[in-house]
Amino acid sequence: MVKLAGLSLNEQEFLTDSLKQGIRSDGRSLDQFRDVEITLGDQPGYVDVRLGKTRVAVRVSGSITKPYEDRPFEGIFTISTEIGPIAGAFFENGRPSDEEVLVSRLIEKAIKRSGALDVEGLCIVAGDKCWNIRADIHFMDFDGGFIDASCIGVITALQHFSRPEVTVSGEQVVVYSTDEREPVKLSILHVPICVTFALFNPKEKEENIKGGADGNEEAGEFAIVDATMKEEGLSNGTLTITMNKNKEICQISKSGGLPAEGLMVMDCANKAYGIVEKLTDQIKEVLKQ
Amino acid sequence: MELDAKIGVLNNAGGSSEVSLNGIKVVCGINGPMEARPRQELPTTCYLEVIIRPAIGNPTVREKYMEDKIKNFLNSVIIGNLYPRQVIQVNLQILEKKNNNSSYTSDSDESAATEDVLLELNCCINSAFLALVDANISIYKAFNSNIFTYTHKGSLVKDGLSEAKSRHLVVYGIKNNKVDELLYGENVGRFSEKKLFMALERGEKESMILHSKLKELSVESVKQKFVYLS
Amino acid sequence: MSNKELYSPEGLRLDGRRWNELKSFTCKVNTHQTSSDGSSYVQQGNTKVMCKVNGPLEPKSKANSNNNNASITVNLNIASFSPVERRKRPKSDRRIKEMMTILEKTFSETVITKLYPRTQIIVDCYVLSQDGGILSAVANSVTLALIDAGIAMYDFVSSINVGLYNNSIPILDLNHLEEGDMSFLTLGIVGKSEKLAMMLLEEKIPFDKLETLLGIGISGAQRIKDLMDEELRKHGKLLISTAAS
Repeated sequence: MVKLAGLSLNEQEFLTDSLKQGIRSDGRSLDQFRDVEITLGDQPGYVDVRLGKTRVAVRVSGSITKPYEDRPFEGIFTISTEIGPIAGAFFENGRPSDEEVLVSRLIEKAIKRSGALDVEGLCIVAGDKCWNIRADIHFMDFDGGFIDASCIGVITALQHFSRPEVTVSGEQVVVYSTDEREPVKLSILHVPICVTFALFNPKEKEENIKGGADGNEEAGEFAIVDATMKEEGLSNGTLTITMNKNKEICQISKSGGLPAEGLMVMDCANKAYGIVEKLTDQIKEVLKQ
Repeated sequence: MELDAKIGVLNNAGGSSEVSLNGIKVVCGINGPMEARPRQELPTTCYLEVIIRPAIGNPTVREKYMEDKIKNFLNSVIIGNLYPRQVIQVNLQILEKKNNNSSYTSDSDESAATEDVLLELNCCINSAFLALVDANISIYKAFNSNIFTYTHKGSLVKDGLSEAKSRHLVVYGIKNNKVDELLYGENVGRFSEKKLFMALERGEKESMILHSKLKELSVESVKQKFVYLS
Repeated sequence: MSNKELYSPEGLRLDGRRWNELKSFTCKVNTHQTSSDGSSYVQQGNTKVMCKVNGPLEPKSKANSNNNNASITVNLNIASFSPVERRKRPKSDRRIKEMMTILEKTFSETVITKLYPRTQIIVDCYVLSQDGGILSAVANSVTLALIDAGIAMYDFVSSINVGLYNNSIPILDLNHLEEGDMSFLTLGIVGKSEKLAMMLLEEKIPFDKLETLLGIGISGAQRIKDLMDEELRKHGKLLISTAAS
C-alpha cells in the first residue's frame, strides 16, 4: 500500500531473493497468515486487534437519528477509516491518499455492502427514527495487513456491541439504560473475513505478460499471504479476497498491479477459505468469553 | 481511579505510551524530530504538530481546541532550541472514553463534550509525558497532570467522575525531585478564589505522588531498552 | 418497475440478448485530433464513454515525477446527465476516486512506463451515458486512446463484466438494470492471454461459481479485444491510404 522509500537496495534485493526461495523474514511460509490477537475491551463494542506488529482498534457506537429518505425501513451503518500519522509518519493527517481511499472502500464493501449487519433490524419508527451504528477504526501501528486486521476488528466489535433496549408506544420512543434493561445484541447475518495476498514477479515484466522465452515456461509469479509493510512495499500488486464461512465470496479486489493468471486467483481463493475458517472460529472463541 | 500505563507500545512511532485513567484510555505516538515541510520550518526552534483523534467520530472543533491547549503547553516544556528547523509530531488517539448512558440523540452530545474535555486532557498530558521520555526528546522539567472536582456539597475530590460544581485540571513541573512550577491549569465551573487555591495546593501533593509512579515506569522502560555494561 | 424478468425461461434477457451475447460494441479512435495526443470513443450498448490522452509530457507537479518510470494520472468525469436520473457527483466521491486509482494501477503495469521516465501521461475520461459496465467501458476506451497516442504498451487491456443471476446463471455484459439486481464481476485481461490485469467483485457470490464466471468473463473480454483490434486496424489502413494519396 505505502511504498517504503526508506528501504535500501540491498534490503530490497535480499527480501525479494529470499521470497523467491520461499523464505520470509519472520520465518512464516508463503501461505501462512500471522497470528491474530483479539482483545475485547471492557466497554461493549471495543476491540483491539493485533496482527503481528500491526495494531488496529475498533469502537462501535450507536445513536438514534432519522433514517435516509429513500430507505425509511433501514437503519444507518457507517464505517470510518481515517488513517492518521500515529500509524506511521508517512501517513498524512486529514487528506486521505488514493491508497487510503482503496482501503476504506474495501472495508466498506466487505462489511457494509455484503450485508453483514442487518440494517433493517435497526429501524425503530419507519421513516422517523432508526439506529445509527458507527464503527470507528483507529489505525495505530502499521506493518501491513490493515485491511485484514480492520475487517476482523469491525466484525468482532459488531458482535461484541450491544445497544440499549428500545420500546415504541405510538409516537413515543423509550430508551432503557443498561441498568434498567439488558442491552440487545446487533443482528449479524454473516462473518466476512478479508485476506490480502501480495503478488510478486520474480522474472522480467515482459515474461510475465507475454509468457516465457520458450513459450511453455512457467511464468513464475507467486502470491504470499498477509504481507508485512516491507513485503507490501516490494510487491508488484495486491489481491484482496473477502469470504465468509458459508463459502460465499463477499468481494474480490485486484486493483491493477501484476497481471495474474485466473488459476492463481482460484488458488488464492482456496487458500483464503482455509484462513477464513480458522479466523471465524477464533473470533467465536474470543466472543464466548 | 488508578493510573495504568505502558511505555513503548507502538513500533512505528519514535516514542509511544498508553495510559488508562478515570475510564479514559489514550495512546500517544511521537514522531520526530524529523524533517519539516517548508511551511513548518522555524529557524531557531522546533515546530510542534499535535494531532488528537477522538474515540468516536471525526475530529471536530473540540479536538482542535484540545490540540491548541496541548501544543501551547508542550511548547513551553520541550527544549525546542535543540531541534531547530525540525518537526516533532505528537499523535494522541483517544481509545476509550466515559460512556454517557443518557445520550442517544446527537443533540445531547454538546453538553457532555465540555465535561469530558478536562478528563481527556488529563489523560493526554500524562500520556504525552511518558511518550516524550520514550522518544528521548529533551524537556525542561518532568510534568504530570491531575484533576480535581468540587462536588455540590463543597468537598474536594481527586478525579471525581459524577456531576461536579467545578473541575480543575492542574499540571505541575517537577525539578530536582520537587514540585517546581505550575505549568498549565484549566478550570471549569463555578468556584471561589479560595477554592481554586485549595485545589492547586492539593495538586502539589498529588503531583509528587503521581510523579514517583511515572518515574518508576520510565526507569523500567529505559532499563528494558538499553543494555548496560555493569 | 415492470415485472418482466431479467432472464426469461426461454433464455432471453430484457434487451433480447442471450446469456453470452455482448452488447453492441462500437468504438472510434482519434476522435479529438487537435486537442489531445490520443483519443477514443467507446459505446457498449447504451454506455458511452470518451477518452483523451495527453503525454508523455512534463509533469505538472514535482510529486508526479518518478525517476525511473512515467507516472500515469487518470481523471474520471462522470457527467451529471449520464445516469437515468440526473445526479451531480462531487469530484471527491470515493467511488470515482476508487475507479481512478484502479485504472491508474492497471495501466501502470501494461504501459511500458520505463521508456518514459520523468514524464507524466494524463488520461481524461468522460462518461456521457451510463447503462452498466462503466468501469469496463472506460478501461477499454483508455486502452484505445493510449494506442492512438502511440504510447508503448505491452498489450491491450480489454474489460467486461459478468453477473450471476439467481446465484446460478452466469450472464455476460450487464446493463444497468441487471447490475442492480445481481452480483457481478468486472474484469480486465491483458491481450489474448488469460492474465487478469484487474478484477473487481463487489457483492456476494457462492465460491463454486467463481471459476465459471472467470472463464466466461475472460472469453468475453477476449472477444472485446478482437473487436477493438479490428477497429484499430481499419483505422490504421485508413491513415496509411490517406497519407499515401
